[in-house]
Amino acid sequence: MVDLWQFIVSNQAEILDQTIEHIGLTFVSLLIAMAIGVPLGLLATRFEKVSGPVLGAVGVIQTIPSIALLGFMLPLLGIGALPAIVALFLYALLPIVRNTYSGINEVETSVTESARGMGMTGGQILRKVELPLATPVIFAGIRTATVINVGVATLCALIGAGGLGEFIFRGIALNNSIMILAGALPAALLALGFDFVLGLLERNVSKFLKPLSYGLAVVLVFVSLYSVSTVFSQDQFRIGVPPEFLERADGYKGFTQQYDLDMPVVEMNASLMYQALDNKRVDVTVGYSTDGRIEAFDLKVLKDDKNYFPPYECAPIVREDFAENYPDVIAAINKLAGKISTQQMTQLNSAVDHKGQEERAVAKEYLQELDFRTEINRQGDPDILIGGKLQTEQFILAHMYRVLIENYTSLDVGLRPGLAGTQIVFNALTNDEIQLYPEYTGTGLHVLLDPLEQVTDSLGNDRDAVYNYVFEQSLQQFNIRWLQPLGFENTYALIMRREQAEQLGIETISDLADYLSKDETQNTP
Amino acid sequence: MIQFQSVTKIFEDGTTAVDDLSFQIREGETFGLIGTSGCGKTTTLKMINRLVEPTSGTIQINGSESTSQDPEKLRRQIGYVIQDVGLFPHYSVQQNIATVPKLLYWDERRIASRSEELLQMVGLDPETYSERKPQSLSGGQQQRVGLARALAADPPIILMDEPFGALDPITKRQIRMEVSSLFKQINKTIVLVTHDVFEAFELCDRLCLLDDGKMQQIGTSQELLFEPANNFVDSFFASNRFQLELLSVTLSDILEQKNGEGELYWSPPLKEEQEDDEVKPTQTLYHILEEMEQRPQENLAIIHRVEKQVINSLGFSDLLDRFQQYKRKRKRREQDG
Repeated sequence: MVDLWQFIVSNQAEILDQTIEHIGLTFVSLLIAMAIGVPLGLLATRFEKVSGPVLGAVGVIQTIPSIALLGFMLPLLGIGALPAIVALFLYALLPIVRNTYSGINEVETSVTESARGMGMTGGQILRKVELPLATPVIFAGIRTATVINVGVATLCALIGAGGLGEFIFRGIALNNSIMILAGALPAALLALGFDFVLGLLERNVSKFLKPLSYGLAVVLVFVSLYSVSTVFSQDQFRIGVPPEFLERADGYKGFTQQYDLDMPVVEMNASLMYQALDNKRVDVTVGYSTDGRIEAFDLKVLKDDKNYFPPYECAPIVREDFAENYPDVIAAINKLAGKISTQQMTQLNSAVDHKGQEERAVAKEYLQELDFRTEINRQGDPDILIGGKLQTEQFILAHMYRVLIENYTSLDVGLRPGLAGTQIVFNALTNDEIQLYPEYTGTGLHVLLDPLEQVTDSLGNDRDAVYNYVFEQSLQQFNIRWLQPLGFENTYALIMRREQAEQLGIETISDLADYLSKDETQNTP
Repeated sequence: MIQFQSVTKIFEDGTTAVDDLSFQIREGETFGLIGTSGCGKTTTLKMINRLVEPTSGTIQINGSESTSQDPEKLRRQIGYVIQDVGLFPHYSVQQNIATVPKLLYWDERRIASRSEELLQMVGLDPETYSERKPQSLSGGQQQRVGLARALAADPPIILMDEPFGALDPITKRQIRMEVSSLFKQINKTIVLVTHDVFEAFELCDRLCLLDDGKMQQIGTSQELLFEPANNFVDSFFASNRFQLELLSVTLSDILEQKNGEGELYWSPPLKEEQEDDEVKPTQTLYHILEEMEQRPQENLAIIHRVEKQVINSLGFSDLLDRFQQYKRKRKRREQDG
């Protein structure tokens, strides 16, 4: 509790920003949904023939999982506030359309018939009879939509739209529950608060609160427009950053200090960044040097000329007791040691990310090229579970290890790749929930061990020194054994569109920093 | 005057609800549309205020074709009362009554005084009921408000679709009696749809019996009973014939007084010269016999208007005898004619 309070106090500016973004996303989408949903619901009551398709369509949209809907939005609208607002709008549509429809339909026919019989026009019946009587039901729909939207809007952080989801996803990636709470708590309070305010409005909508509600709506529109415009503004050079990188010791803070960089940050899901870069939503991203999409999207990796990033050699890690009990598994795993170069790994990633091949087939094919046995494929209950993070290569490696272990031992292997964050995978390993996963030495150094600055400085950029340090310390501190490295490195890397980089003559990160500082002095008179 | 000219209504699903209907509703009369359910009586009624548009034929209201004006304008000149009342639940009683006057842009003061007048007319105390919401009223009270709402803008024509259908028998009877006397006061053309023949006989001057969208007979209750146009009309009233006959025949029918020299009194009167004891000759036989059941000691005395002496004194059985005579006479007249 105290920790949470301290975290909130020390990050209040950011939380406030995120809350405003969150309100903006929620209400812009909600206002659009109201502006379209209520007339759509009315239309459905007027033309019974369209009511089925309309209600069906908005119902189907609601059944699409929110992550999937955001995924659908990407190729169409890219990343940022726009696809987020569209997705939220679509989610808000169902409760509003359906409640408008049923609210109007629930008005007794005797009432509308007598209204017609007395000589009210269609518009008068709607304004004086149907809408006033349906208002509680329509309002209930709007309340439902608001609460849904506050919740779903947290997911919009995944596509760089900001909001309170940023803390939640950063917290998930780092397994930091205080950070998760710092995002989740304000979101929950927002949902409750809006529900309460709307409930108050609903009860008094016809009375004194009417002008107040208009005022509130106007204020919300301004807040929304303001926050959206800040997310939308395109004129600045922007950097897309995955949540974990923002908080890591070898991450954004130290990096910007080292290079004296300052540019607006768009936080987004690691797997979306390349696309965002390609769509020019951002101009620089922090990605992984072996990622297949670098080749696919014709991107350029900037040289880390000040050697900020430590080496990130990839090596499988296991618990020490597991290594002692299963020497044959260790032997099977080690068959792959030194067998994958950085270039080869990039090609394998590209085969999956760019050419659309299955990770499993890519893994098997590569092992066949190396003349390993690959024919055995067991389907039984797994004896060993292999974990992994979100990057493509982690999936491919997991499949490779599975084939090796199943072909060179008598054990069955199950896979649990795609875990969202270093801390989560590592905790799973130490808790014996998974038995093996590929980790990177630099990550081991900075995220898992996090030693004093003198230590990291003394290790510098020396691959072997880092490996040895991580090997010894992991064994001591966590009882975790690093096996032999696979041969490739997957470092954090600053990536730009090749075209833009060449146009601006940027080769290294220092070039970028120079360009940005020049740009800044040009812009300030 | 409402004039139907070869009016036919075929619904979208192909059912013929009203088939070549031609008749006239006279100004100031209470006109009943009766028949079994599904006979087309409600459709006929709704064609008058254009809630249903005829497929063919014309309807003239006071000489001008109903389709010649805006349906909304037309409806504001025609009161409309339905079985489920359809009061606006979000409006107070007063606001409900004010609906049509507001549509006609009456000023507030006129609306207020009119709704007060109407509430009194339908037997509800304005002070108690004006600000109430409909759901706090009983079924009978709601129907009274519905009636007041229909009368609000003083329309010359009032359409009523099963107005008492949803009420319990006691309330129904009471409201029917009140409405009956109200109808006599207000002198409006009233078109009443009902499946309850007793209600129709009590309230209506003339009736139109429909079956399967076709008009079977139009006329007074006695004409329908004693001169049925066809077997359907005859059989339609068969099960309640005796009661209906008593309801349709009035005292003046069976007494056949010349020059109306006699006045009718209950005899002996409870008190000398008691006004209450005067009996109107327009009373139906049914009501007289019913009252006589409650006054076993009394006869109906016919007293000479000028000389104040009893001309005749009739008991229960005398009245029934006279009734039989009247029926025989009618039958003879019919056969002769």
